[in-house]
Amino acid sequence: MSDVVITEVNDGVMTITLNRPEAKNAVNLAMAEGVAAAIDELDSNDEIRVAILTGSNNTFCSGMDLKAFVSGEVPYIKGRGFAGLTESPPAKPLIAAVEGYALAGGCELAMVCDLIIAADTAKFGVPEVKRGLAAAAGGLLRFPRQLPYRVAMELALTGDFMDAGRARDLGFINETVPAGEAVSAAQALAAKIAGNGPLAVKLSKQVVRDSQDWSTDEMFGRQQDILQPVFVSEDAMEGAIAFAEKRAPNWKGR
Amino acid sequence: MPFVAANTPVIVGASQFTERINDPDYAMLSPVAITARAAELALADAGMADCRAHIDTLMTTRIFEDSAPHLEGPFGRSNNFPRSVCQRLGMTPETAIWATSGGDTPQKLVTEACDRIWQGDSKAVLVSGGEALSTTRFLQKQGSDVDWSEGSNESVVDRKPTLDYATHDELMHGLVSPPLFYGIMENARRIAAGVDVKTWADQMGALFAPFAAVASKNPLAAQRDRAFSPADLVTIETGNRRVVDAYPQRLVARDQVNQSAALVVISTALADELNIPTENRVYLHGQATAGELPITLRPELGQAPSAGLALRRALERANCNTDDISYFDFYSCFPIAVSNAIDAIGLSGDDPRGLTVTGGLPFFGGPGNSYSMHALAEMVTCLRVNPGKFGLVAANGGLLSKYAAGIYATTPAAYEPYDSADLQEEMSKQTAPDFEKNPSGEGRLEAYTVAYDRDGQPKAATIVGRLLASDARFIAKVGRDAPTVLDVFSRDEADDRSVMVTPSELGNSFIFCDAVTHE
Repeated sequence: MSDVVITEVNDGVMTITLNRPEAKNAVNLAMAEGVAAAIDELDSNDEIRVAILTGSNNTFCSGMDLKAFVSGEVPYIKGRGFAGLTESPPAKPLIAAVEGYALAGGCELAMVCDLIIAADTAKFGVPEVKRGLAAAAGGLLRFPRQLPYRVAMELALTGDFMDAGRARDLGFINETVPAGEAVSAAQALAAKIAGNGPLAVKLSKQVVRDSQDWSTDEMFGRQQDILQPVFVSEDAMEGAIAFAEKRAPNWKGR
Repeated sequence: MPFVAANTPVIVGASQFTERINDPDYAMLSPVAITARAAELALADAGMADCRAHIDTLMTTRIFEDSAPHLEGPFGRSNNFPRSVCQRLGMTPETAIWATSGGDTPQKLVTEACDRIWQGDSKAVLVSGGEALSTTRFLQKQGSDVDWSEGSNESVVDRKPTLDYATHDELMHGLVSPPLFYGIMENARRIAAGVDVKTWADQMGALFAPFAAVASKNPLAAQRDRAFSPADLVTIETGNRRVVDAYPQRLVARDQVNQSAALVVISTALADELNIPTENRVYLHGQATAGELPITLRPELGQAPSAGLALRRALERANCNTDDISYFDFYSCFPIAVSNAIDAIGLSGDDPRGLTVTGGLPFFGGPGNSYSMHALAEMVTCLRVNPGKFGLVAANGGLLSKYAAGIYATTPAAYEPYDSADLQEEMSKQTAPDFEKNPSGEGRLEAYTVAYDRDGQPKAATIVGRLLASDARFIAKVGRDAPTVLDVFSRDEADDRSVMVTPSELGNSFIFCDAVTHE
């Protein structure tokens, strides 16, 4: 894996760092490939329970690398989307730890994450319209699912930024922390998730995500199809026995 | 001899193997190796040692440590148990089947082998199982770093362990091992019968003493040195600590054994081709199975009607009744496994024919899910020397969760598959009391069990009861921090007392309403 994406795994938590500080972590093809490879590792390695996506040098990501783009390099991976991620989120939980700017494609990357922790100085936005472009990497699609309608429209049509305080008040992000502490706060959140039953966590995420497309008539049936294995899993048995024996569960992920 | 069709399945090989730590040739065999040893002996018994290529299917039971997430052993394991056994035997059968967990599986595998042969899917099946838990403990004490891990990526039908014997609420309220679940069921049966603790203990001792007597004469049994009197079995003394309420050690399946057993089941056509003597052929005359829900979802905690249903149907399928049976082997992990079965078909504990051919799980040995493979092997050997006599093997799995019964004889019989679906249909018609997960208020006891530490001190109690207000069933527990509650059980005074139950984040707990402290 190239050093434009740095990955590290500690106690079941993978940290994926976008690392092109000279370009405010703008996404080029190498970075997209690096993110896609990291996500493959996240979903295929049983030792990893959850991942954090962050950027180096106190900024999250400024979007697509326009210099690379004009030279003909497109930072999309077929089937995976922009930065190898926006069209194909992982099955396991992903937390964005945002310092500085999450703009354009960077904002769209944060939005594909399940949870967002941001520095109180962070800013979010999709300024594409200001340059005659549109936020096509999921921004326009996810805004109305993650924000009230009028706010979604405001951000989409003005291209203005939203600061972290407003984003928190609207429930767009989970928590604001002092500048420089986004990663450590994300690690604390990740540790809680990593301590839970891995199969239960993964399938719970799937239900929360997929159910947005289900009708009222079918939703409980479809939920049952997904969750049924949880209730007869080794982890369900282990969770109950560990509770009775007053010890930490020894999860198997099955 | 009456004609039987060429696809009629026959058992033509049966063998057992035991090794003990003090044996001069003790080989410290792994679970795979000890299972392969019995399989090798069964092939030899069938006269098929030199034509083992006929075996197209090998089946194994599931060892204890592959049966639940918290039972993992210290020395590694095979990732493909049946194929590892095949490797030891130098065989590459087309099909390998790795059973689910449960003591009922040996009979179910034999039935499946017979079905496969009758349908033409197989010509010859080797069915095997074994455990080496005594060796595991021995090596652990020695600080051994033996490596039993092995693998095969050859095809296997892996049925995975059965994990739904118990509800989440049962496990969370302290029922975390079989003796505790069986203790609940045993006490429920006793309380429903209105019998006091002492009298019930005497009855359990009387039920199991004949098992111990059979084991004392069985050279393969773990407990051979001594025939216990009923009183010996239930007197708490050195070597017979209280494991749970209501069981002392001597009434509990003995799993610290190294035992394996195997059977060879082939088609009549192949048996004829191999010139296997007709007197060595044993036929499955009838079999049936039935299963239960987890215990707190059953109508009566002390009754598992699946056993009676399966036994009666197996007899019916074999066109006989209990009077026609000369030899029995009832699965005997705990007394209620036997009493629940024999009461249902009108046998008494002192039946002169005996209720076991091996000595039973506490005395012969209880090698995990494969005990009944020994019962089957012993039965086959016994029926061969008593041609025309009938034998019944009854196997129990889980927490009186699954029952399988088979009837055998050297007398030829046409085979006809039977899937017991109508019995399960009948079981599903039962209705149980509502279960209240967050009970609050006064209740009466249906059952209880107490867990003891190695020093014989009570450490926790679990009760199942009914709320007086709604009649809903509930489960609750207390630990060492409730010594006055535990004392009530120690004094055998719990039966007629009502309880006050309270839900909490840490589970439901209870006190005795009229708990007068006797300090």
